[in-house]
Formats: sequence, C-alpha cells, structure tokens
Amino acid sequence: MEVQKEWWKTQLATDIHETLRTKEAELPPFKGLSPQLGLRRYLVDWLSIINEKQGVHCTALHLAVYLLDQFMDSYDIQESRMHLVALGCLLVACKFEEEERRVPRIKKLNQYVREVYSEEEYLQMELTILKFFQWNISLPTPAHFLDYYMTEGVSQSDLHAGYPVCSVNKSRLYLEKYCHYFLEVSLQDHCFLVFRPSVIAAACVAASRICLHLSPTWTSRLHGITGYRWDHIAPCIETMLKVHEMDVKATKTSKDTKDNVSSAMMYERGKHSGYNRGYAVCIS
Amino acid sequence: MQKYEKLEKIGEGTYGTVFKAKNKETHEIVALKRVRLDDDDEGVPSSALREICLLKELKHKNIVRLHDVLHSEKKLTLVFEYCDQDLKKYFDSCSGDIDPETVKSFMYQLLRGLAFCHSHNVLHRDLKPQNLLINKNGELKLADFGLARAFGIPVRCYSAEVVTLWYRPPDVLFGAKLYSTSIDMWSAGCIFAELANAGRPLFPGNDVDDQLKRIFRLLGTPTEDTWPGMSRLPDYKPFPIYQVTTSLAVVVPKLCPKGRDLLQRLLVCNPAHRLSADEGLNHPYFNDLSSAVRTG
Repeated sequence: MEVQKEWWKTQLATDIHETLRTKEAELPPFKGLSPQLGLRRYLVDWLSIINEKQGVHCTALHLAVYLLDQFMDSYDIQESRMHLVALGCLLVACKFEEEERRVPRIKKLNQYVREVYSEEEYLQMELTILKFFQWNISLPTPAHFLDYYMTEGVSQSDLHAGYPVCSVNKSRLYLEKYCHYFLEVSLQDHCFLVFRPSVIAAACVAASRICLHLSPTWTSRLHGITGYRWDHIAPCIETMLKVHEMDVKATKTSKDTKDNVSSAMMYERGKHSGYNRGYAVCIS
Repeated sequence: MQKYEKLEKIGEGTYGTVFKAKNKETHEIVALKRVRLDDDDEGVPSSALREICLLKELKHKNIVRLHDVLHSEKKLTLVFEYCDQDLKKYFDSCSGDIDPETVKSFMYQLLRGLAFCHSHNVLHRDLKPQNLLINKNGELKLADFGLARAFGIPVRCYSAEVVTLWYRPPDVLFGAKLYSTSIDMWSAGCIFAELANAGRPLFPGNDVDDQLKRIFRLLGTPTEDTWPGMSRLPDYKPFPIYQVTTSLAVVVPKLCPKGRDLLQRLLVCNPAHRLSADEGLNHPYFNDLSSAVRTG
C-alpha cells in the first residue's frame, strides 16, 4: 500500500485546480463603472472587520467582495443602501462557503448598521443578488488558490539572503503570514481587479518571498504548480510591493515604531487602517 | 407557477416537498421541489442555495438536471428533470433479484457521476439509495445535493454531521473533520454491496458504536499500522480487535470476483487508501461493460 498521500500532490488536487482555472477564465471583466466606486475601499475594510468578528473563513469574505464588485459595477446604488448590498453579499457568500453554524444571522448583521434595515429588506436583497448572478456564485477567488500555491512556497534548496535556509518550517510560517497580508492588500484596492484570481495568489507568494529575501524569487516548482512564469505575474507583484511600501511608510510615520516592523504588525495595519465612515463606530 | 400543473406528491427532500408536475405548454413531466421562505426568517436556506449553485454547473448525464429556479415572494421552486423512481423504490420493486449486468451498469453510472462531481470540486456527502434516481431507460442520476459542498484545495473542515449513518465512513464516524472525496467513495462501496444483494443494506447500524462494530467485524479492526493517525481522531475510542473471518464472497455471494475486488478497494477504513471514482471506473470489473452503458 502506498503511504499517506499529501493532498496537494494528488491527481485530484490537479483536477480541482484546473477546474478553478477554467472557471476564472470565464469570469466577466471588472469595468470599474460604479458611481459608488469611491466607497469601495471603506466597504471592503468594513466587511473585513465584520468577517473577523463573525469568525468567518477568508474564502467567504473574498467571495462576498467579488459579488459586491460585480453588483456595484452594474448598478447605480443609493448611498443609503450600500451597507445593505454589502451585507447581502456577505450573507450569500457565507451561506455558500461556510459551515451552517458560522453563517451570520440576519439580526446579527443588522446590528452592524444600527438596525436601519428591516429583515424583509435583507431577504429581498438576498434574492436580488442571487437573481443577478443567476445563482452562479460558485466562483474562484484568490483565497481559493493561495493555500495550494503556498505548499510550494518554501523549499529545502532556497537561499535566505544568500545562505541556506536554517528552518524550512519556520520560513513557511513567515511566508504564510506574509501571503495572507498580501491577500488582504489585494482585496482592498480595486486596481487588483484587472488580474485573475490565480495570478493574484501566485503574486502573493512571490511578493512574500521578496520580502523574506528568499531566492530565487520564483522557483521551477512554483512555476510548475501555478503554471505561471515570472513575467506573467510581474505586473501584479509590482503593484503589491508598491502598496506594501506605502503601508510600511505609513506605519513608520504614524507611529513611533521600533526599527523592525514585524509582518504581524503590517498584517494588522493592512486590516484596520483608520477608516471611519458610516457604521465603523458600530463595531465594538 | 401557472406554467406547471401539479400531479402528485413524490416525497420530502432535505428542505422541501417534491411534486411530480407537468409543463402545461410542452407537456414535459418534471419534478418540482418547493422551498418555503416565510417560516424561516433567515431567507434562502443554505442547503437550497448550495444545491442550486452547484447543480447549475454540474451538467452531466448521471447527475439530475436542474432546469429552472422560480421564485415568488414566499417560496422558491426548483424545477428538476423527472425520474421514475429512486434506487430504494427500485429495490422494493425488484423483489430480491437484480441481474449482474444491471448491478454493473448502475455502479458504473454512479462512479461516473461521482467522478464528474469530484473533478468539478463538489462533494456530494449524502449518497444513499434514496438519493440515486433511476429512470425508465435504466439511467442512474445523482440527486439531492442539499448537503453537497464545493471544496477547495485543500478541502476545509466542515461539520461531521453528514451522510446517513449506514453510509458513513469510519473516519467520519470517528469525528474526522478534514475529509475529502473519500467520504463519497465509502458510501459508493456500501451502495455497491447493497446493489449486489438486491437491496439488503451492508451496514445497517443503530448508532455510531454499532455502526463501527459492524464495519470492523467485516473488515477487521484497523490499527495504527494500517491507518496511521486513526487514534488521534476527535471521537476515536478503542474497539475490540476483530480479525477478518468472513470473506466478501459470503457477504456478496452473487458478485463476481472482480466485483468483489472493486468492493474491497472501496471499503477501506483508512480514507487515504480508498479508491477514487476515476480509479474505480478503470477497474477490470468494468472491462466487459456493455458499450451502450459506457457511451450512453
């Protein structure tokens, strides 16, 4: 009998990956036409915080934001309804992606907006969203690819600042932290919507390797698992590193921090940068 | 709702009543699944939402086809292709005898439907005879995706409350949270034995303990050697060490040796060693499958 299979090496993992890639190729392009595009960043941050409070997995959050982007792209929405749309997207995404017991109750969601909407309005919004997508909401997001790509994120033969990596396991942990930070970054800014989800996930791994001084930055194994060469993902990495640089600068200037900005801190910063519009105060 | 004329109630699904109905214009017979929205203030039940989303993209001859979704304020109606009966009723109607060709054909179609689900990253998670539909052309279709899940790579933890007890694999019975397509393959094995015995369930346990005992009595109690990590599962508890005393030839006397070999490879306690749907389809048992079924 063969030994316990590692899931990412099975034929099934390859099949699923292929299915997700086929699906993402069919995603409609993001046009950036929403008159409310200026609210997007705030809404995404707001949903991220709610998501964290509710203990929901990041695939549900990424799906919710994807639904929100497509929906906003096609409708002119009254500002007073934006929170309802955002919460509706989160509700639908959670019902699809999450365990039953983790799906937030409508009453609970309504508390985040000081109960301005009626339950009836949530139900209508839910149906409106589902109809708009014709119930096709089984869609891949960067979060659906990242775990798979991270399995090849660090290898024995990597060099760290020119020397062999001391602990592959430790490096993996750091890499995961950085990857999730970049995943958050990619959610926040709509400039990432021109890239395919799998490109963003691959770029998260590459950008993390750059920040961790791992070389070579893009290995043949990463090429193998993602199917992307360096030049495929370079523009996305560049955008990520720019945002990252701005983030580091902002942290350094806003706080009298120590010289070392830990990845955990950047991660936190990325998450809760100080937007305070609408119902942000409601979250306590 | 005027488009369809209700003919009779067929049964109860995971979340709603199912009716046989006729399209008034085309006279096509369909199955309507009603989901009431008014008594649940949480909107569309997640099981219905997932079933619709997943079936929308699973278009395959061995998976029940979802034609349409209609919604009015207080209810949702799912319009499915109609099949004459489910496998459970089929068992009742064939009074203890199914010819080996039919067993092979049904098993092949079950594995083909599953292989399609699995390669499209969908787990069914509730395979049982009641959820397999049979139409009058002898076609088998997977139905009731109310517990189904789109899974990622890796498959994430979901609740263990899946799969009717008799068809639930030992890893899930021991509380395993991170399971994969192997969950459906165990159920497929149980159904295979039930087909071969014309409707007699293989492991009709009364509770989780009884279920595991029945499994281990037949297959032998697994050990850390045959199943590394078993004793670390959340609900693991030691069971008496049963040795394999009964050959599968006694359990499924009508099944040919190749069929027994396939069954043996599906009913493996260690989920990592269970055959996949694709591997099952390529098993020698199907070498002499009629070409009508293979291409059908």
